[in-house]
Amino acid sequence: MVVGLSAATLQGAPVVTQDVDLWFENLGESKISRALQEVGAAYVPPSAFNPPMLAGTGAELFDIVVRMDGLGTFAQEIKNCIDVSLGRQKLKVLSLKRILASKLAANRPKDKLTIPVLRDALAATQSVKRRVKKK
Amino acid sequence: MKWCERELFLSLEMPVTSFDKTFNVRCLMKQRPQLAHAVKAQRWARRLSARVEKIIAAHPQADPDNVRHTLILLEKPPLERLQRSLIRGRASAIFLK
Repeated sequence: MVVGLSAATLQGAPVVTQDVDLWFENLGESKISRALQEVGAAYVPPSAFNPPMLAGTGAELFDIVVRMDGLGTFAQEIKNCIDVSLGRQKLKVLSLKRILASKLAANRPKDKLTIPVLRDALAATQSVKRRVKKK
Repeated sequence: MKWCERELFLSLEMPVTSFDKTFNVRCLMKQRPQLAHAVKAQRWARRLSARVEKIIAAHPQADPDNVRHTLILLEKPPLERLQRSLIRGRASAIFLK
């Protein structure tokens, strides 16, 4: 599932981000290592000082997330996902509402900057959705 | 028709009115695609600001710039939205280093 600000941008929020945060239910899944191999990257398990991460040029845009502040478990949050079409693929993307909830809970200085933008983007996207439903 | 040709026509005492009509029509024909684009862009901008106003009326605390940028981004495909965000985010990170 795509989470964080990259998930927010996929839903139209005007924010900038440096990487794409991915939240996996099970990092040990064989599909993940196969996909990583295809792009010349590898999974690096967590160590004393480092969180789990992806290494290799094909994966440099991506970060692994193991938990989200203020949110439930993966199984609970997958229900709050929306499907975003990227070419032939459909991506599971955490909803803007839940991204905002996690930023509010984390409340780091960098989160505080994005909270008002996410709030406004949520208002705008909801109004667009209502308009589409009416049509 | 070039400016010198126009001068030549004028010096030959061609009726000014008929010449000017032809000249203007030619200019308009050249400008038509740009004019059509400009008219289209103006209509789009008017529609956009009407939608921003409507959302701000329902959410008075929202920043109109954020709302406007969101509506513009929603017209783009998701991949383009992500690309823009990453390009800007990574460029600003390099700049800060």
